[in-house]
Amino acid sequence: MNEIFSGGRQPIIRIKNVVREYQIHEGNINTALQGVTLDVYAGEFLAITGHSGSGKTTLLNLIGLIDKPDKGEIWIGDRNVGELNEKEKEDLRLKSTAFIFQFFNLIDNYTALENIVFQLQLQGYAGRPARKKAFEVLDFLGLKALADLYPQVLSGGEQQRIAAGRAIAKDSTIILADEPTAHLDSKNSQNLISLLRDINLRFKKTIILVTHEEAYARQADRMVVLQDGRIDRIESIKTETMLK
Amino acid sequence: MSLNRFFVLVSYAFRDVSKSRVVLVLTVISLSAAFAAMLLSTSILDGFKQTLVDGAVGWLSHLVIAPSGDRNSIKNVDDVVEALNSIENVESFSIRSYAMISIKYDDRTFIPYRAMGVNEFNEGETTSLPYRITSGEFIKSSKPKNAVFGITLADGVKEEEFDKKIIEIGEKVEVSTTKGKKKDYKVAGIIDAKTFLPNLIMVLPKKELEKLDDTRKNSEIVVRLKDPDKIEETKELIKNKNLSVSVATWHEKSGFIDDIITAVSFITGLISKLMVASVFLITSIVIFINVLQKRKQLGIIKSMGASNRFVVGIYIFEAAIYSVLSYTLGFLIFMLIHFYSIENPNPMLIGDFRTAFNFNNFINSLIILIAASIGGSIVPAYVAAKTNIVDVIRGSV
Repeated sequence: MNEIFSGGRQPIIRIKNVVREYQIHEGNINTALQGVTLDVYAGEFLAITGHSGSGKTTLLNLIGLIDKPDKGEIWIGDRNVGELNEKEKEDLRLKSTAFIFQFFNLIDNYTALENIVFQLQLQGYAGRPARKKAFEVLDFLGLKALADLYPQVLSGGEQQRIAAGRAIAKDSTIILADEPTAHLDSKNSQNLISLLRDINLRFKKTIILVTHEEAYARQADRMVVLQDGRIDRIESIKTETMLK
Repeated sequence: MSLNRFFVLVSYAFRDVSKSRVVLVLTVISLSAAFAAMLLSTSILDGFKQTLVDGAVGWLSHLVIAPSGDRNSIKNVDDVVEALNSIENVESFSIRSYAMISIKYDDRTFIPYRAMGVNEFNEGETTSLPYRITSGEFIKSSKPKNAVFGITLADGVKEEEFDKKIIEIGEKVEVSTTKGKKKDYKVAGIIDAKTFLPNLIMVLPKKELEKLDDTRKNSEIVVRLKDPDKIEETKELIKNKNLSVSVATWHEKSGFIDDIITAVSFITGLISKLMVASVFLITSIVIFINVLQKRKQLGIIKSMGASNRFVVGIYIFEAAIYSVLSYTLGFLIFMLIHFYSIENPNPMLIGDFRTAFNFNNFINSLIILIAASIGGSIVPAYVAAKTNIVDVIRGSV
């Protein structure tokens, strides 16, 4: 199936036989991922789905370089993550990946605009260009009117769109969305998924969406179904639709 | 770290600090109190030292020339005077004579006391004794029957000692010498010399005292210098004249000052060390609280790509912000107390006590406390940098 989807493209992320184990109480070990192998292609909208505890978020955290595997290899572009030191990982995390979390995770000291500006400044943008770009992003999201509001006064849907804006603004190629609809109503959830698709098409960003809602997963190009830390199946939705 | 990234860090730290206003206010109050206390303790020491020095120099001036060995008088006083007149750095000098006396007042006899005979003009040029008159007037050669009493002596001869009742101006006393001479004198003035010894003596015109008892005629010459910083050089210069006299600085003659200063320094040093430890701990605790409260936020900014160095920088800069605010406030508190102390000196036996502001001490205290603040922030800052993003975002810590 991967080969059908790739269309001869090189994968942007290669996950090779990755194992991740967690120490739980009384010395017991929980194996969250048991030898997962997966390629993700540039510009792809990939959904990872499965039941609770299937290893979806663990896999996303590994790709996002905020966790490390016990076994196996993860390649981002031409770099084997396991061979990078902490500084190189920080650098790669800054340049390659952007997160959208289920709890929105905006910085509550900063306004909507400042949340995006801060992300850009971390990447080295100066104040004025950062503000200009952040305004453009808010404009794209239709949230310009909320620029000066703090996260506390925004609705869940608005906060999640700002978080998406923060991810778009970042000059990274990969957006990792961890259950971004978990705390949104169905209307806001669908709006967000549509927004992610729009971002994927318009900005050519690779999007990896973790969701337990198969309806949302089916709106991606491919859907990876995890079960008990293993890949149960991969469905190439867009390709199948195109073939039909 | 680029300048741009540095400004982002500073801005983040400012926002973070100003977010918890109660913590900010409490921290600034605590640290400013510590800084003010540290400045105050050193300024008390300096003020105390200055008071003691003023008292000693006011009484002994800079150099004290005395007979060598166990002689009572400087026999070659004319040679010494000639030598002093030839030394460029000598501003003025006063030759003093001494005698042991007993005083009879109100049918009671007090023995023995020290009487000092001086020339009022020379003494006024050289020491501050004539200007320390609290009532009446200083001795005058033209009024040989007038005596001036040190305030402790004036208190001692009237009723009980230290009852603050002193002999009054115009009252008469009978003075007897060891040579058996007796003479009546009128109390012309009371001196509070702000140091121990001169407050226990009776002052008479020099010639008058020598008429009573000349055993210790010309037994001390106090010398005022133009440049007190050259005290050691001038002392050596006088010694090298081979005049068979002993020459000592006011400091050598006032060994008690060093003892007192050593004791007070120990206490102020202890206070300063406790203040430094307090500042270190306060900063450490406050930054730890900030880190624990903001762990999730730290996880977010790390997931956004903030480096460990950036996170450490945030908390070190937060400590710097606390320092700037606290030490500015602490300095203002100290200056208020200092100005109050200058306007309202505390009268003590050794002098009118005021705090003293020493710029070097201020800079030293500031540097030490800023270092303690920054030092206190380092461990919590590293704890923050080591925040596990997965754990904090999951909310498991």
